[in-house]
Amino acid sequence: MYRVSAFAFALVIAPASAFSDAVPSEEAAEGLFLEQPYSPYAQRSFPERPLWGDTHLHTGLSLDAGAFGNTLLPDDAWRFAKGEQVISSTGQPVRLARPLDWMVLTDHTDLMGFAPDLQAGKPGVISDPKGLEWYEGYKAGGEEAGKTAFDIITNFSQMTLPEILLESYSPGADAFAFTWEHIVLAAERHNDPGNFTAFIGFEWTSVPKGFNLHRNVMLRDGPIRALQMVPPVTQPPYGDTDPKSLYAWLEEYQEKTGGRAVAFAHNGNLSNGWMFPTEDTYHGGKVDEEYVAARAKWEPHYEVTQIKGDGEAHPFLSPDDEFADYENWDVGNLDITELKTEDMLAGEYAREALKRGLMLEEKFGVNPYKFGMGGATDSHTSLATAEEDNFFGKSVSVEPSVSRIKHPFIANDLGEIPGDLLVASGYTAVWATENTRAAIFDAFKRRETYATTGPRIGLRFFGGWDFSDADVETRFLANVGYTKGVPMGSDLRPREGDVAPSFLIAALRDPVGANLDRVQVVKGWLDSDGILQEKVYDVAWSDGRVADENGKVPAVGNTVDVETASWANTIGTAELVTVWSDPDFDPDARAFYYVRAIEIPTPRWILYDKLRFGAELPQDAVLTHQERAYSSPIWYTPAD
Amino acid sequence: MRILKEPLFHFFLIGAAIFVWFHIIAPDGEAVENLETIRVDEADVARLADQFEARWKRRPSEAELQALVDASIREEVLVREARKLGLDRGDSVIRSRLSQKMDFLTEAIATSVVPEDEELEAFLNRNPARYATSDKVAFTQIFLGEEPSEAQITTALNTLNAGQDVTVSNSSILLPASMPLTATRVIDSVFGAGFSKGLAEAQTGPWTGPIQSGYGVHLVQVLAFEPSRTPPLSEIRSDVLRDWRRAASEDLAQAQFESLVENYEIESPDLSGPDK
Repeated sequence: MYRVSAFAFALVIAPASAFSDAVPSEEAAEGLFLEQPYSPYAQRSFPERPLWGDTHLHTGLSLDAGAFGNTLLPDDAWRFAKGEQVISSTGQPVRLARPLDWMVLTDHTDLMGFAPDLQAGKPGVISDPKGLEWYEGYKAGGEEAGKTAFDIITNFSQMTLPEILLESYSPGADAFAFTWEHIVLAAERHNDPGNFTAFIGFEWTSVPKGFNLHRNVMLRDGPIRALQMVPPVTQPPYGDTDPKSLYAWLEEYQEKTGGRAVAFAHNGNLSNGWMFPTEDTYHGGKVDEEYVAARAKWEPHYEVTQIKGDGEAHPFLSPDDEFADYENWDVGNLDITELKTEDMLAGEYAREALKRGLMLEEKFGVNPYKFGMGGATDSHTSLATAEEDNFFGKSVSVEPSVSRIKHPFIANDLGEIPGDLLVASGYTAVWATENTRAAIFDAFKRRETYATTGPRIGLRFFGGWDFSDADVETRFLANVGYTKGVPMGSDLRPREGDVAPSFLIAALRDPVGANLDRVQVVKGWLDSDGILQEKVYDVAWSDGRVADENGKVPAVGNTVDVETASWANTIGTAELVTVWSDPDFDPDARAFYYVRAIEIPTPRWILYDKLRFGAELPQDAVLTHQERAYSSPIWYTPAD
Repeated sequence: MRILKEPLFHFFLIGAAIFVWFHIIAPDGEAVENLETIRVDEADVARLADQFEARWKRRPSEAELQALVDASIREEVLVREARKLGLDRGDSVIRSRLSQKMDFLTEAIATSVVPEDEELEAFLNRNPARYATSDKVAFTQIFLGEEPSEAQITTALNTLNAGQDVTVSNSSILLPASMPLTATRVIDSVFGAGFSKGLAEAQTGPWTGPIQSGYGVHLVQVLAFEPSRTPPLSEIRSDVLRDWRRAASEDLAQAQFESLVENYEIESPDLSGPDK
């Protein structure tokens, strides 16, 4: 017995004794790790400030943008994003109030580069009779040009484009390759690491039967990798509208170039239920292990708010959420060839998708809808404007004018989206340590991003098990957050015992914007009966209001003067900081938590049109709204 | 007359030479004077055959070649007759193609020129703001709330300059307490427009203030200030060259147009009347 134990003992101490020379005394070790480093800038490996950008912008190289008269090209778009003044396609000088820190330029790949050649009447276009007809229509201007643009888009969505034009501006053609090179090199010229990041990207424009399944793609890489491939399209025979074909391209890109890419969808609200399927995909496939794995791999992000509607929540899906009815577009699909029915909504909105993801994860072990949140403009003017008082519209045809509110976004026999419903939204904030392609891209991958509808609201969100009320007093909130918890976009690991998770939450209003009304936590979970649930908690608010018995805080009020399009920060507050613990925590239930920060009411963009142009507003137009920020979620998965 | 200075005037001369050269080598068939003869020579036939091959990846057969020649004769006849009838006038497609071709000529010249460094240096000196780096400031700040009283500000300032810490009950949590050397544009995007102006004017070292931000009143301690500078040409040569080319191309196009427009007497109605 003695011999055996001695042997075991020797085994245990052997590794330590091998290092004995290097083991310092306890006293010396204490001195090695200073509690507070002398230099206040040392040990700051966490991001200091959010980097603001737009993940979705079109230039005149995009088929529809160019056909509608956008003559600004990538150089103009980049210069504008960096804060320079440019002259818009309608001849108006325009400048951002504050420059962006980064942007992804995402021109449509289908018929990429056709539009500028059409505008110029290049021989490749006008040698085709249909091309000549469009060129003459475009040159005629006014209504004739509008009809022409519409004819081009119709031929695109019906897949009846002249074969020779399709061939000349699709993968395999020189014009297509040169346009891609133009996009890539322009991004490279404007990429200025540390100051401004210009991402190479594109939009893959899948819209079968008008159901919006678009995906944007952003590359982590520069020209050396990006130019080894041309981007994929959707028009047969050169491409396919099935997202699986995009995933295949992404696989090939990473394999062939050693680069990295992500894709992200937008406007589920115009997909008529096809954006976030749980059973069947639009293309006749099943939501199976292969589907969830590919979607989880390639789509870690979702564009939740933009000009074509806000897609966080819908009042039909979230009847108890008084803020869910915000800038929703729910008439039909993208071209209103099919009207919306209530059963479609669950496949369209981000909150519902996050819930469905929990259910699919239970089934397959992988959550296909585990995405971070972002906002974008999807503007087709080359101008990334998301501020209400500086909104240059969706396309060149609705750049500022006295009558733009009267132009419907779309109108046909089935329905209409009136022009005043365009949403001056949004931007994406990224918590990255550096303003470089690599750092920002990596933040997208770990979902450390949040969306806003335009204002630059500061938002920190950490989840953990040990946050206490004292933590809201700290002057180094990020230090505490990253040390004691995980940031937005992360997984909260389960912990033994019956303690509920706690969250450190802080929101700061835009330095030149409106005060904050309240900060909320949105929780979704899969209960023990397998039913998906959601609840919105008011967790911090202004003006000492008292919550009712259901925990709901009354409305903050409204200071907007509609005559002068102004408001006063006499209500609300500049900053809200709190530690919140989930009162309904069930350690056995899959759940996610995200933060929604809401501003006090401010004027919508149409009030500025009224003030500056004397524009006539429709009787029932919504004049004020409460802009907001959506954090990426923190997910909780129970231990097995 | 800047445009007469070196080297733009030289480009203009090159441009003029190229226009003359194009005039000389322009095919006879395109000349309007020679209406009655249509001559398709060996070179034309070879060109047709090459075009065919580029499209179909093989040489044309004899019958195909004959059809190509016939088609080009037919096109020539119709084009000449159309011109006689004046059908080319007022056609927006033809007109814009022609004016575009003239623009391409000037653009091609401008992009092929390699300027001397002195010319780029001069361009840089004329547009220093375009290349200047931003002012940078490193600082520490204390937020005193939206509307602190004079007394509060003075007390806090004296305490800080005596080397003691100040606790402010309503101090902001999310505003950074300090920033390392940071461009003023970035500082303003965090604290609101104009905040960095107050910083740039402050003395380095002691606590100063009050400085107004988008949130309220701050006291600041500027730790370092790095003024804006315009980098030497060697650091930014490719940027300057690109901008110089763009400017040269625009100047040349304008100079070219001005010299051509001198050959015309322009008559157009005066639109500056009271109706306008």
